[in-house]
This record gives sequence, C-alpha cells and structure tokens, in this order.
Amino acid sequence: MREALIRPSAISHNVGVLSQMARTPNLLIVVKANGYGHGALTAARAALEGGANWLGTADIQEALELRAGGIDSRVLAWLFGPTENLSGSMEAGIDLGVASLQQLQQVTSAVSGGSPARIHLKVDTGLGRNGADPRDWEALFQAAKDAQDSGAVTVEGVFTHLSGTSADADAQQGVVYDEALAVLGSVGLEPKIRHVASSIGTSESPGLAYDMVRVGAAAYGVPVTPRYHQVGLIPAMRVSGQVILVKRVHEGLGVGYGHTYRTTSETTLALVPLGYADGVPRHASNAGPVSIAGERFSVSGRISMDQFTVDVGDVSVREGQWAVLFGDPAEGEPSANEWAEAAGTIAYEIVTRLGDRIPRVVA
Amino acid sequence: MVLGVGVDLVDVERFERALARTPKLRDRLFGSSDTSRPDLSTQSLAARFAAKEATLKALGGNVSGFTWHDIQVTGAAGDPPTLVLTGATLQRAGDTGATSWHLSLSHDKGMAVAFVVMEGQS
Repeated sequence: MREALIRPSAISHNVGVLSQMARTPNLLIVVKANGYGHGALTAARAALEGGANWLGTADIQEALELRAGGIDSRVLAWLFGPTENLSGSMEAGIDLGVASLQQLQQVTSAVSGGSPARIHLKVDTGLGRNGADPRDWEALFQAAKDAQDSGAVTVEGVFTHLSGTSADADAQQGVVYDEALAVLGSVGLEPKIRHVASSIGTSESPGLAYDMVRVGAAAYGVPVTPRYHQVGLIPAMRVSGQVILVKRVHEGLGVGYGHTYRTTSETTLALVPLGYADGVPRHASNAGPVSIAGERFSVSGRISMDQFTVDVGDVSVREGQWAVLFGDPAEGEPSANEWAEAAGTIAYEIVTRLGDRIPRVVA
Repeated sequence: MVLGVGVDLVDVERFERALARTPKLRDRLFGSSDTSRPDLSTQSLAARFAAKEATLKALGGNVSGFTWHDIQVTGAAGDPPTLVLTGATLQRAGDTGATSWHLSLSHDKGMAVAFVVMEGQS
C-alpha cells in the first residue's frame, strides 16, 4: 500500500548530464543517507554505471556498507567520531576526510604497516562548518606532509564546501581555497584531487570545478537550481500510497486532528496510508500536493503519523488507486520541490527523510 | 556574457501539412518533455520547432550527433517556456562555455517565432 519507485536508469542518466556539465577528470556522486533515501547500493551502482568514478558518504559505516555490497570504486567518507576505530576503514580502502590535527593523529595511529591511508584534507573556506580554519592550515598541512613522508598517509585530495549564499560569496570561497592550495604548496604538498563544488556549485560556479565535483541532490534528479531545469534531469524516485478508504461525507465535516480542514459541501474523502512516520512532513498539512488518477489535489487537514486525508470533491476516486505524492513533473506528477515548498524546507530533506516503512521498489 | 543568439520563424500551416504528410515526423521532432502538456496546439508545436532551429543557430550550427530530442521545451501552461538541452546540444553548450540559455516564443498571423540566447563565459 506504500511504495517508493526507484529508477536507477534516471540516476545513471543524471550522472551523465552532470559529467557533461562539470567536465572534470573525476566525478564523485554522494550516496550518503541511504543514497538520499533512494537506497545506497542502488544509487551507487547506478552512479558508477552513469560515469562516476568516485562515491562519497558522510559516515565510515556507510562507506563500509558499499564495500559489503561489492562496490570497489574509490569511496570518500568525511565524518567520523573522535574515538572511532578507523582500522576497518583502512582495510576497506576508504579515503577519509581529515579536518584537524586530532583527526590526522587518529588516522596515523590506525595505520599498521601495509599501504598508507589515503586522506583528503578538509579546509573551511567560509562555510563555517566542517574543515580546518585558515589559522590552523600551516600546522595541519605540515603534519600531513610529515605523515606522508613517514609512509603513514597519502594526501590524495584537498576539499572544501561552498555555502551557496550567492555566486559572489562562493567565488570568495574559491579565492580562500586557492590560498589553501598555496599554503599546501609551501609545505611541499600537491594533492592530485582538488574538489570544491557540489550540486549547487557545479551549476552556479563552473569555475570552481577543479579536478572533481561532488554531486548529491542533482544526481537524483532534484533540480536544486533553476539551471538544472534546463539540462533534462530525471527524478529517480516516485513516492505513492494506495487509496485505502473512500467515503462520501456531508458539508461541514471537520477532517483530522484539530479539525484544521472542514468540508465546504458534500464531498468525497480519500484516505492515503502515508504519514510523518514515513517521512511525510507534518508541516505540509493542508498543503502537500497529491496526484490521483492524473488529477491534482492537496492534503486536507493534518498529516498524522501513518495517514492523511484528501478531499477529492466529486472526482471519482476508487479504493486501490495510487496517490502519487511526488515523482516526475514531466509526467504531470508533483515534484519533491513542491513538497518542500509546502513544508517550508528543501527537497533534500523530503527525499532523505523517507521512512523505512516505505518499500523501495527498484524499476 | 552573451555567447550566441538565434531566431527562427515557422509557417504554422506549412508545418501542419508536413506533420500530416509524414506521420512519424512528430515523434522524431518532439520528445516526452516537449509534449508533456496534452493541450498543445499545432501553433505551439510549430513554436517549439522554431525553438529547436533557433537553438541550433545560437549554438553555431552543425552540432555533431544531434537529434531533435536533444532540444526540448517544457513549462506548464501560462509559465514562461524552459529550454532543455541534453546529449549533443548540452555538450556543445558546454564547449562554448554557455551555462544558461533563454527562450522566448510568440505567434501571430499564422507564424510562430522563437528567440534563443546562450549566456556564459567564453
């Protein structure tokens, strides 16, 4: 009665488009958070099929799950805890993001003979989030150079993340990034893979593509900037629920908790078995779009934990028909962006928060 | 900066005759995005075809490996049309440094016209 239809071919297609846009020698597709809700392995395989040569995750555990699923491409993971044991990551050949001396120490202490750990130094160029502050660059870079000379690590890359505040702000971050490259050069490090831009940067700051871009949302067909509407991205997920109850009701009936919706005439209500426990945002109550049998409606009343109601007026809706919450706008279905607008958030959150109770059906 | 412009004019009646004469032409010219709106008139299809020709001009012509589906026009009724480039035309746009493209359509007195601007850094 619930379904998230995943189209790997759409992801592969989108990755091909991104490759055409970015024109970098390397393309990393981000498959963290269960592949943005699409299924990490499904997304990873489709991304590699589409031409990506790197995958990215936040956590090491996510990277190890890719390895367990038979993925042998390069994988970069950039978040780990201060007491986390990194030896599993080393054995699995995962590249790690390193943002501080403490993290570098954690990596070097996990290396026991064998090949050096591959690391990417993470610098904060103005996002104010992860990455080493410019004041700490020299000490970190020098220590990384020493660790590389001792055979403990190989500094494969250097990366940063843009704030997407404006094209000018991102360009300014590019200038700070170039300073980081200069400091790296001064200690004798020249990482092969310089990477800065993500989905938004790839679209809005093509000058910051360097050797690799790291793309998440756009690979799944979520058009996070207007430009992505112009390159033919295909949404890779369609979320729907089967209408499980249809009833004719009288005028003036309060619908759902708090009666925030009231029927204005005799009408038909359709019940859809998806709720906030499934990741359907409660903030989209009385607003989220739904398409049933090709007709557009919206959620009527509050979204509850497992279900919501749709006032379909006098349209003939039958039990068993599928209500599409979001899918491909080119096929007349609502988009994840529309749900994001209805809930006052971004489409990233709509797709990544989808619950485990919705089976992912791979088409 | 502006990297290219293109304009094209299509006679709606002649276009309609061409579609009637060659039944496969419609599918060859128009892809799923072009025709996602079920209410498209022949006039609108003619304007979309003009958009394809205008885009080729704005890209400098002779796009190798090109198919008509590599240029499509989307947009809900009432919204400004969006020009979508894929495959060979997206490749060419990237080669020229274009990062955004703009389309305007019009029709009057049996003629449809499309105007395309390619923008980016050379």
